[in-house]
Amino acid sequence: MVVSREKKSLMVAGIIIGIISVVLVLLGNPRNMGFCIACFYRDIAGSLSLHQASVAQYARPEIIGLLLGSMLISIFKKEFKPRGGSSPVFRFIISFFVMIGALVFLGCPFRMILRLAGGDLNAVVGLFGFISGIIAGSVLLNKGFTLGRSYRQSNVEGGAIGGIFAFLLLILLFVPSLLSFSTSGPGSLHAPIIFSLLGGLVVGSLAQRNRFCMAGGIRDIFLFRDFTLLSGLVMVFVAALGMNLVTGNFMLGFEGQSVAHTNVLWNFLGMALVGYGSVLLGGCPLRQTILAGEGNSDSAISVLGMLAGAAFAHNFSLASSPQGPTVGGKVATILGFVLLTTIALTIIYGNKKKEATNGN
Amino acid sequence: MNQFIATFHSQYGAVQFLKHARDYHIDCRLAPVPRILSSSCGTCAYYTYKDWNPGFVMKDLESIYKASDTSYELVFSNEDTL
Repeated sequence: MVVSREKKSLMVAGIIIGIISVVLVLLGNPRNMGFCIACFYRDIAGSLSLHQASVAQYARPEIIGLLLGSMLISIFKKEFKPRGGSSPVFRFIISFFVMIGALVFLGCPFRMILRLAGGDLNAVVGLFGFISGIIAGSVLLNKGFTLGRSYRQSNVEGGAIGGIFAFLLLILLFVPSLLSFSTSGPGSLHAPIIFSLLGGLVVGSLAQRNRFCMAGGIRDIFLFRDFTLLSGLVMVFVAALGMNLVTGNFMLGFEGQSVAHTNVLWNFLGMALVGYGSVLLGGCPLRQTILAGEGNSDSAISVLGMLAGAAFAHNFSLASSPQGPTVGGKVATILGFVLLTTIALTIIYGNKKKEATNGN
Repeated sequence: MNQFIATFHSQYGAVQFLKHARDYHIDCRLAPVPRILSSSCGTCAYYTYKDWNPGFVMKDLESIYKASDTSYELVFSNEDTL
C-alpha cells in the first residue's frame, strides 16, 4: 500500500501528539485531559473570573502554546495570512454553542479521542453523536450553506489574538495574583507551566503543518471518501492508547471515569452539537485555535465565542458535572440545535433566492 | 485535455463549481485541498478541460492550478490585496 507523504506526515504528527497528551497527564493534568480545548478555554475563562466555578480556574498554558505555536510556525513558513470578515457574529454564536455542547459532554473532540484512548466508553457514545452532527452539518454544506468568503486583512488584525494570549502568558508568569486559580477539582490539576507551554507549542506547530481537525477528518470521509485527515486522528488514539496501557492509565468502562458522566442521551447530543457547529464553522475547537494563530480573525472570533460560551456555561449552570447534565444544559443544547439550524436554513434560502434571481 | 485544480474562498464556491461543471458536462470532482497548495482544510475541485477557464461564472474562486504528475502550476489567482 502506498501511503502519501501528506498522510505519512499526519500519522507521525498524530503519534507525537498522542504521546505528548499522555505525558501531560503524567506530569499533572487531569486524567484523559492532556489536551481538552473546551475544558481549557473554560479554565481560562474561570481564571479571568468570567465565571466563578472554583474548580475550573487556571490560565492553561497549553492553549497559549497551541495558538502561539501555530502563529510562529505559520510566520516562519510564510503561511501567516490575516483574513477575516466572514460572518463574524454568526461565527461567535455558533462557537458559543459548540462550547455549550462540549461542556454538556465534558470535552472537545480532541479530549473525546483521549477519553476513548483511556478506555472511557462514554466517549464512544460521544463519538457517535459527533459523527451524526458532522453528517447533518455536511448535508447543509452540500445544500449551499456558507458563512461567506473571507477577505485579506492587516497583519495587526491577524496578529491581535496572538498578542492577547502572549499578554495572558506574561500575566500568568509575572503577575499571577491578577488571576484566579482552583485549589481543588480539575482546574487545580495541571502539569508544570513550562511543560504545558512546550506541549502546546509543539502540538500547535504540528497541527498547523498537518491541518489537524477532528471534525474535518470525519467530514472528509462523508463528503469525499477521503481518509487523509482521519489517519492523523487514528494515530493520536493509537499512541495515547499505547501510552495509557504502558503507564497504567487505561481503565475500560462507563462508570468512574475522570471528568465524565454516564448519561447516554446527553453525551450523544452534546457531541452532536459540537460536530454540527464545527462543520458549519469549518473546523473543530482545536482547528479554530490553530487558524486563529495563522491570522484568521474569523477563527479568533470563534475563540472569543468559545470563551464566552464557557463563561455562560458555568454562570448559568449549563455545564455538566460527573453527576450528569443539568436542566439548563439540556435546554441550551436544544436551543443550540434550533438556532444553528435556523441560521443555516436562512442562509441557504437566501442563496437559493439569489441564484434564482441571477439565473445561475 | 488538462487536469486543473480550483481552490475557493468558501465551501459554497466549490459546491457551485461542481454544479456548473456538471451542467457543462465537464469531468469534475471535489476533494480536500492538497496541503502543498494551502494550509486551509477546505475543498477544491479537480476538473479536466482544454484550458483553465471552463466558461461559467465561478463564485468565490481563489486560485486555479494546472496539475501534472509532479507539480502544480498556478495559472489564475483571485487573491485580494489590502
